[in-house]
Amino acid sequence: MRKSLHIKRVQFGCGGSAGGHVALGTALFDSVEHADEELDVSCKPNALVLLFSSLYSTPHLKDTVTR
Amino acid sequence: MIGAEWRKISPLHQIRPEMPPTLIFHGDKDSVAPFPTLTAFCQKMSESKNVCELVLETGGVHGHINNDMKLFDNAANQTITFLSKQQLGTTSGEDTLVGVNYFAGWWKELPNKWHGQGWNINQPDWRPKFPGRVPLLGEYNTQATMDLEIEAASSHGVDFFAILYYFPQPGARQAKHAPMLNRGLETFLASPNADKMKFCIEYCNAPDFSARNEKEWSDCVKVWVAAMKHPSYLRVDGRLVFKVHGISQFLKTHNHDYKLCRKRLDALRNAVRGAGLGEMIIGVGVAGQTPPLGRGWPPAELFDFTATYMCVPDIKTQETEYPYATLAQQARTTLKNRVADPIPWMPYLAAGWNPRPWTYPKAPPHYQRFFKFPTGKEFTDELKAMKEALEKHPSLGLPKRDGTRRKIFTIYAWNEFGEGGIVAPTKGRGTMMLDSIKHVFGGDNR
Repeated sequence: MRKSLHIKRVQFGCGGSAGGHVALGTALFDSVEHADEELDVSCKPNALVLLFSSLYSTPHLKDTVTR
Repeated sequence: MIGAEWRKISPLHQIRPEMPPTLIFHGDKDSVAPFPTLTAFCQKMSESKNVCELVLETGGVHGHINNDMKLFDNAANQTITFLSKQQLGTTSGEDTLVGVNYFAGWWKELPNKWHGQGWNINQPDWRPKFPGRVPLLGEYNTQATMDLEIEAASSHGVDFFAILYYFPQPGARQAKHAPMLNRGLETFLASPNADKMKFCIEYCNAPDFSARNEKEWSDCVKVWVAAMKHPSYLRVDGRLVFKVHGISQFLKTHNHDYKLCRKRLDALRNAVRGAGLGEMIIGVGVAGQTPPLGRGWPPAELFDFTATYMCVPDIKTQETEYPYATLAQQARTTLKNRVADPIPWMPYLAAGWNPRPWTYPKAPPHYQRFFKFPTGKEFTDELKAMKEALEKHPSLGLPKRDGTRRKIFTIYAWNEFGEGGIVAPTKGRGTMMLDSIKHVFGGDNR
């Protein structure tokens, strides 16, 4: 599976609502990596398309967009 | 759960320079991801000099795009345009782009171009005398014809149509024909097959169809910008490709005033920017016999590239037909002359020149020179030579922002049935010309 990956860079990230938060995360959250993350392949996209996305987080879960 | 490290996953708090270009669709009545945050986000993005475009829907709630088919379609088109502008989608090498000139001169109303050069309705219909030139996919530029033509062209490796646009100059002798000549553009824009290939506009600035003043130019610009919003409008390196048919007439129309020429072209570039469509590369047609251009060729200040629609060799007029090789040689000579030009040139290839149905006793010399149509092998050989020339000469093609060129050329023509530049399938030769293109450049349209 891994050998079939020829991607050097993700072309673009797109997501709606909380998915937009995830897409933004690929571009922004450098310090947040999964333990098994394949770091040879950059997850930084060349462009972002955000649909009614969550754009900020707060310390309180109840204030954070969860949908 | 998030705790003290919440800032790490808060996009608003992580914005920094050199973020990917970002396009945002949002509704101002979104209560889940509220609007004030969005304003702050966009402001921070622009402070950090990031590209950030916002499509704000007044009254839009959370999920607004998913709940409205029209909003969804618009968003899809805007996304394609946005991504096109960002130089994406050029990952797997760069194949040569194959363009074919599209001339929508074929309407049913009389007088029409199936009835002789003078458009004299008393002249007989010439189709019965030249059955081999009659097109298979439709004898008139209707929607049905265009739908079939896109299907045929795109499945044989044609990447784009360079569609001639004629300004309906008020009071001009041919003013009433211009709207019919523009059916090529109209039917492409309206075609359900339009996503199968690209198109660009070549502004055919012949005297009767030239925009002569600011008002006429702005009328043209409106039509062009509307067409450029179509996701299939041709871009090279993210920039929209546009061509003015002929340099001499363009300069003449503007009294050889370079400032005025620049003003017109800037008005077009600004209108395109204003519509959110990004940047353009604007080309201009030069005659094939033009000797190599010197360093200081003045129009190079105005245009991003030159191109040649078609060039008939300057040889003796005669009744009998010259071989196709003579016509092909002119294209090769033109290419050699252009290689060292101070401005990039988009090469052309001639599918044929034989204006037999349109010639008349006192016709201009180029209408009294005839060439045999190419055989499949002859045309294939020219296509191969073009492919090699584009690989050999890095100065040919359309300019990219890094100073290199995109390999690209145009073929004269899809449907010059009267003049004899014919790639479209005909009763005489079937899909022979398209088969050659498919053979050399492959049928998989990207």
